[in-house]
Amino acid sequence: MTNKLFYPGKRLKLAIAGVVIEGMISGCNFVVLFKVLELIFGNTISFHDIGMATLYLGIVFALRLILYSISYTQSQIGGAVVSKDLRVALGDKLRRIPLGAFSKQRVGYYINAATSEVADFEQILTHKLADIIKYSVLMVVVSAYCAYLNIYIGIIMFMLLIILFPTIQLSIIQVQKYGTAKNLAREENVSAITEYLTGSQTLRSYGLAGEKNTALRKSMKYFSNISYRYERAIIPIGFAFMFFVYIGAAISIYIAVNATLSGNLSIPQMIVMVMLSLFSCKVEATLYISLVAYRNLLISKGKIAGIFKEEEEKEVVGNYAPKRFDISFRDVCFGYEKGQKVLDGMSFDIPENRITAIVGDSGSGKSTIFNLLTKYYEPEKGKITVGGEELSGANAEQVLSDISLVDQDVFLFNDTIRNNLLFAAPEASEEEVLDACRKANCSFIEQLPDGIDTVVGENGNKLSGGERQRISVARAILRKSNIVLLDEATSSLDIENELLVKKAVLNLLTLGKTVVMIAHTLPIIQCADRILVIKDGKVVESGNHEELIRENGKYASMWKASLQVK
Amino acid sequence: MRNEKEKKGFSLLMQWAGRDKYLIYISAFFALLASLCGIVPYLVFYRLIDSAVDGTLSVNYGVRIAWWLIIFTFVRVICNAVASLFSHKGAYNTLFKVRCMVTEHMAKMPMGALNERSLGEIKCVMNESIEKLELFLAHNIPELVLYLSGPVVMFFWLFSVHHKLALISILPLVFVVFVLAAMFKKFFKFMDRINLSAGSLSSTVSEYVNGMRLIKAYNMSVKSFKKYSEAIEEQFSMWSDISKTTGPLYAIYVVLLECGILFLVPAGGWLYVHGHVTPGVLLLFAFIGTQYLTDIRPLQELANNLSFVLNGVQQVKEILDVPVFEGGQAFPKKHHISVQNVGFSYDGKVKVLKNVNLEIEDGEKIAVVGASGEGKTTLVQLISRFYDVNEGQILIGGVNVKDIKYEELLQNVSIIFQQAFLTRGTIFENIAMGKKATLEEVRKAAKMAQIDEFIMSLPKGYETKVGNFGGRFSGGQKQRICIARAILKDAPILILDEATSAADPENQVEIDKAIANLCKGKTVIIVAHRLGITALCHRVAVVEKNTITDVLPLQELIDKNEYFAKSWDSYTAARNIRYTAMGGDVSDE
Repeated sequence: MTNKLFYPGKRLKLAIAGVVIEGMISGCNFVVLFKVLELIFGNTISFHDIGMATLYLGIVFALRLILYSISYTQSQIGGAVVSKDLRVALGDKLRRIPLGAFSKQRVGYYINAATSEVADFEQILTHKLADIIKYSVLMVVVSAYCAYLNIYIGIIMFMLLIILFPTIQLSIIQVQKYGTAKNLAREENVSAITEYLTGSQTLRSYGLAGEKNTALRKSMKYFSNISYRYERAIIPIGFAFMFFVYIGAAISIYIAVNATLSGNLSIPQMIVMVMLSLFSCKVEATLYISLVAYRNLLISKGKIAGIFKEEEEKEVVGNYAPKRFDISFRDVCFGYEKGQKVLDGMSFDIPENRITAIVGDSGSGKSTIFNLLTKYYEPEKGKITVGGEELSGANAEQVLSDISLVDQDVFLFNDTIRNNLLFAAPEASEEEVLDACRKANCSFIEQLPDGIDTVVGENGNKLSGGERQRISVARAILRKSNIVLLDEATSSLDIENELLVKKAVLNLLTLGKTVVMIAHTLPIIQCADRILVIKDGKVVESGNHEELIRENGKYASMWKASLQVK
Repeated sequence: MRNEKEKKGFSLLMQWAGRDKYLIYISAFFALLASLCGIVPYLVFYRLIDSAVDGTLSVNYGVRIAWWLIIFTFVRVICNAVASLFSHKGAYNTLFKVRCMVTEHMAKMPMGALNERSLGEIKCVMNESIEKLELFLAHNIPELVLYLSGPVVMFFWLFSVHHKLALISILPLVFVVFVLAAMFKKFFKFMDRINLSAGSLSSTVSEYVNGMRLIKAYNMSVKSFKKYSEAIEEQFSMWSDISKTTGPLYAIYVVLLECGILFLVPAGGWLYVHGHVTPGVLLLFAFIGTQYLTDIRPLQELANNLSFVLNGVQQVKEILDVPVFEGGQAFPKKHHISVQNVGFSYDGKVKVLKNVNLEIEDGEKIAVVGASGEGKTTLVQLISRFYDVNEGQILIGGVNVKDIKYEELLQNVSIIFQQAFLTRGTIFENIAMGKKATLEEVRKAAKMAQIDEFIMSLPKGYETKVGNFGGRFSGGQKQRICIARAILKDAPILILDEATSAADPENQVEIDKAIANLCKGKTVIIVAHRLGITALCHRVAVVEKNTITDVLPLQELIDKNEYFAKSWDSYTAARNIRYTAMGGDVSDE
């Protein structure tokens, strides 16, 4: 069904037809000139005939002018229609793809597909497709005409058209063979350059900058060489093909001359044949270039089509609507890649309306728990429930409607602060909005030029990190979700902001919801109702601070270390 | 004006190409040869008509003409291929050279010029803008020669056949110029809208995709999708408007190039009927004279590319134009640092630092504290000469930093950042970093950095490739590898820019130990975010209101400096917050 999107719409089809017809009409010039030719060789030409010929040519010209103006313009608009439809369909598709697919790299890929890949694909449609059809039809007509006058020349013309296809195939094979090596070299070169630039300070302070960095130089040189080798493999194909085409033309000319001398062809016919052979050489060249470009640009189509083929979120029929908000994991297994076990049979219970903290070494799987709770990913095995209802029987939207997530990665819409808050709680009154700002320590809003109606810029880039975090806390306060997921998010802040954010969070906690927090420093969760200690994808200890200290295990040693940290 | 600028861009590019520019010139030469051979088919055609008219046509003549065509096509194809190969060789060599020039220049640039934003730009220039030059060098130059010289050569040949008709044959050019001018004029009127719409499309798409999680959480699918489709709708309506105004003009341009036939047939016919030209001449002009101008059609596209490419040249030039620090004396033996009456501004207007004075003794450890935006990072950047001071001076061992060889300065002042940088090489290479160190020396440094044990636990130990394994190192482990590297390097002056990292407590203890080992016997400046670290320093310098107000040992500072006392309170308060279900309590410890 989606495949239909890639085909030209009605408007574009008509426009392409117009371009093809225009090409055919331009062929009428040859008919007129052929008549002139016959008159000349019949020695009967008068200036009146010339005048008539000019009139016909003028009519042809006027027709072309009108037809091409309309078709070309319509083909441009038709191409824009295809772009528009593709982009809208992509946007619709994207909201049906599971959230887990929206990783950092993937997001870039999606954005690129919806913007530049679509634009590239449109180029094929509007520029190359019409040319390819026009010239192919032209070649067939010309070959047929030649065959009518002389069967041998006709056959040669057809052959030349046919060898176009294996030639294209050969060039595709070469492109794939050398192109893969070139792409690998390019990727390697890009990462070498990225590495060099990100590490430029370190590399310079160790005397490994510029010419002295042989690794980078080698990578750039290799990329340069392999790029050349790629061209060297591709370039000769096109020129060899052109040589063949002209040999065909030369043979045709020889045949035409012979036929004329033996009386099978009139002189005007011979002249037209010679001209058509030479003309078709040019057409073949154009066709070859257009077809190669067409094939290369299909890469864009492949990328866009790939997104349409991506698996969609399963439509869930169950009516997930938990009444309680205690959370439980039962034997949950999960890995981001095949064979990887980030969570390895994890089980725990999180009580309702209490604070539960999750601690563990970095990389132990703490944030993965959040990713599963928010349905960004589905567990491979095991069961996750909220208030006794299974998450697997719910849509992401349903699950997320009960959850507020406060972490370092704050996303804000490019809109006013007020709207950003209202998006979280559309029903909130002015009073409630202002109150949430107050509780979240968002006093900075008053100093902004337009106060709460200040536009925050793309992804909130007009605000500082601490300000964005406080807005995200205000959002959570306003939203009154039953579950609050908190990733202690102050590590990148300065002292003043850290205190402000922490105090804001304290106000969020007074709502008395089910809070799950990932803690990086231990003192802050000393009073948590429950602490889960994670190691190697399992819960190894759980209990409150005192209980865990008494247990004298992983938590106790972390606590001891944390007291040493100044 | 524009022409002059373009010439500058081009000759600059040729200058960068160095000796490889000859490859490009050779390519252009072969392209010219190829276009000369390009008239042979037309010549063949003309000869055939002539001989058919005067009755000298024979089988031999047919054979000869066929051979002519084959031989010259062969020469032409070879010339074209050679032109293309040479131009690509020259282009890729030049690209390599330009990339080397940029990296080499970057190696001498002041560190300050390489802040995060410009690094992103340089990355874009290195990868994309430079790659675009290939299009120009390898394709556009030979194409330009081909498309321009082809019609010119044809014209001269036609001119030699018949002056007047040849002149008539270029009549279409006159019309075409007007049409093109009108087209460009209309197109430029859309320029603002194009930029605006492109910007809005990309930011809307980016917001839609990046914000998908929140969009779903807030049930905003329908609304966000509407915003997204509106941006697309605007993009569409813009392109239809552009197509409606410029499309017909482009189409007219294309067809008009072939309008010569409307003049050549009556003019040539009149001359023929009155016996002034042979039928060969008439037919030559009727068939060929009307076609050869279409070869210049791609030139219009070429012109579009050209501005694109020259933009790339300009971007590279901007990087190469950044002034570099050169010359200077060896790094001094003594390492006390003296900051005297220093003033600094990034933009020449807003003073980030003014009248700053600070004396740091050889071997002293000093912490710099202050609210964000007050200039503490700037201060340490000036000491390591990321930028040059506007007022006053900074001396190391009694020598002005401006007089010290920049390379040596960078190598003797180690800066340890929050973000650990590792190359993709082995752990050994990462610690040795260009130094010819033995495994013994590397391990000794790693032991001091508390990371040896971990490295030895890896299957391949020090030969483990970071590239494949880097993702599995935690932030704390990476940081300790970097510290091992710095220990091995043994620079006398250390600058630590330390934020509260997200490392888990046990890792943090190890990192703190590693840093303590690194600092032994060095002159150390710590930009402190965790105020606790100040307890480990001899003195603490407070940066407030864009200058240093106090430099005192910690306890004295808490008593004397109001700002610091307040920060210390905030710091303790933040450390003492305990989250509970009731909202938490701020306990006094």
